[in-house]
Amino acid sequence: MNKFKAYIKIGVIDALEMRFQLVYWLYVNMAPIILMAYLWSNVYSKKDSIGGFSLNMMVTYYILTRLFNRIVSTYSEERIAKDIKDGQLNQFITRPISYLSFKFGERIGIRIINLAIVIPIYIVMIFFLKKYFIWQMSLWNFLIIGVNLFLSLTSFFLLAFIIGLMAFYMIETHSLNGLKEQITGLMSGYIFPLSLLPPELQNAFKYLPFAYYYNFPMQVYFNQLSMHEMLLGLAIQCIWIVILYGICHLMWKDGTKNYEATGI
Amino acid sequence: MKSVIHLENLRKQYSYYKKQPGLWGSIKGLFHREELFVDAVKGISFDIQPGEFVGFVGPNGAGKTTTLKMLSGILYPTSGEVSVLDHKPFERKAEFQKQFALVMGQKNQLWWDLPPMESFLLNKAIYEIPDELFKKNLEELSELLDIKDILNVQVRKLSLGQRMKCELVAALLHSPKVLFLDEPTIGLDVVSQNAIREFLKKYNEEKGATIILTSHYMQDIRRLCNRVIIIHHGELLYDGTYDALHTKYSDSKTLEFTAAEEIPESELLKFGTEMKKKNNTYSIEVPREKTAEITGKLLEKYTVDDIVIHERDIEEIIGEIFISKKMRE
Repeated sequence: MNKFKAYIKIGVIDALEMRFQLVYWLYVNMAPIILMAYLWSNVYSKKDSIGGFSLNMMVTYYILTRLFNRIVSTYSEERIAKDIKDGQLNQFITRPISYLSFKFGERIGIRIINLAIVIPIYIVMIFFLKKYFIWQMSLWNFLIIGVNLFLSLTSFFLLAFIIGLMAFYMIETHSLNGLKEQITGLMSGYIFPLSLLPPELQNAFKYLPFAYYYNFPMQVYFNQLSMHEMLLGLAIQCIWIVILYGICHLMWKDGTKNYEATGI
Repeated sequence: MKSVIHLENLRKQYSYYKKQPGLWGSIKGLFHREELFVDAVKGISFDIQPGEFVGFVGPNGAGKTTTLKMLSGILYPTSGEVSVLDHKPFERKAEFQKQFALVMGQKNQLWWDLPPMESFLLNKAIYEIPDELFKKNLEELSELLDIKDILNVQVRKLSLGQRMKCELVAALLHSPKVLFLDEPTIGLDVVSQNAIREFLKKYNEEKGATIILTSHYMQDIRRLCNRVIIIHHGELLYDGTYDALHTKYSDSKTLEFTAAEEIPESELLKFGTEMKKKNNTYSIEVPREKTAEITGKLLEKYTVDDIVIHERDIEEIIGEIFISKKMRE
């Protein structure tokens, strides 16, 4: 556990070191949401409801999913692929350290700093958009969303880890990143709520890990799920984490066995 | 004494794909690729005893780094035996990893954007170094390498020499028993090279750590290593002391002397070969076993002001070994 704390700390320190990055995060967080709110208020000027979503629900959906995105998303794949390609992985293979837990810890550390900046921005933004924002939160929902976000963070990370490890087998992993982003964006409800999709698709997406990143916690937020459905959702997330972890483990074992550590 | 490192018939084969040149070759390569193999290390064996400082010498691509990578567990050997501190390195057991360190001159383990101190603290956690020991080791190492005032400067702002010193500290904080150094002085200026050399010598002597060092600078090898292992094309060419290299591969020495009188060339050539003359300073090459005898004769015959006996340059000798090896192939 001491080791893991050290990994988180290095992430925190690393994030604080990049001061420009912090300003960038400010911008990245505010601009799209304000744009979205404007866009949707125009769309809704002709209709009251789209796919069961009122304007207020839609704006709330966008604000909160962007916030959840800040919490759960990890973009470690590029760094992992780079470590593999330029041989930096050597220092992890030769030291008593688990690369997976190191990267995970470092990621959490970076996230903590990111959130410390981002959360106040969201509070300000919600204040400005408060005529649209639906505030409804029970203790139960809060707990379920909390657990869900932690599981999402883990599964999001494992997915990134798998893509990163593909660098053991491919020279370029950018195309895979792109594919992953696209799939995640569409199937998770990040780009639009999944209730805008045909019911068959919605049903199928229940068994994939993606919908649990954004669509699921919003359903919980809007009280659209029964207790049974909520627990089932968390269970499916857990099963996916086990599966993804298994894949990571196998890929790591096989990859490092055949790793040639570049440069004779 | 039980050896720390044991290699027996160790081999490593890399596979790669052959690509035919040109666009058409690239297109064909999409469907069918010819797999080729190259032997980077072709069955080498040696044993290293505790406290030895071994120099690993060979031209680029000789298999030095590949061997180091097998010793540190980065690579799986294709066949043969390798054991370090009674462990098989490729099993990557934490218990083994806590007892050695690998420093590569061309790669860094320090956090680029952070001061070295943060990397040191991270290593403290990784190697589970007790507070007391960490403090003591850090104090001692930073004193020896004179890096106290850069502990809190971002690594990216350090010079290459300072960075290398910090790399060494990071690698030694957990008091490893075995140390693998892959070109630790590469690209450094003479002053930094010397500082690092002095430090390594001291460290080896005082801590009794076993060290394997690869370097292209013969100065490193000469000053530090009591044993030299030369490999070439993945094969072991020489394993012995640095001084014995001379006796084995060079059967002549050079006599350089200043004489009061003019000596005709023909006369000097009776004593040895390859005479050179510069003002009153002469140099001739003489057979190793006759050095003393010829020196005596010269002193007797001429009025010699000054005489020096040179061994041939080791770099030259090694170069010749590599070339003659190549010619035979």
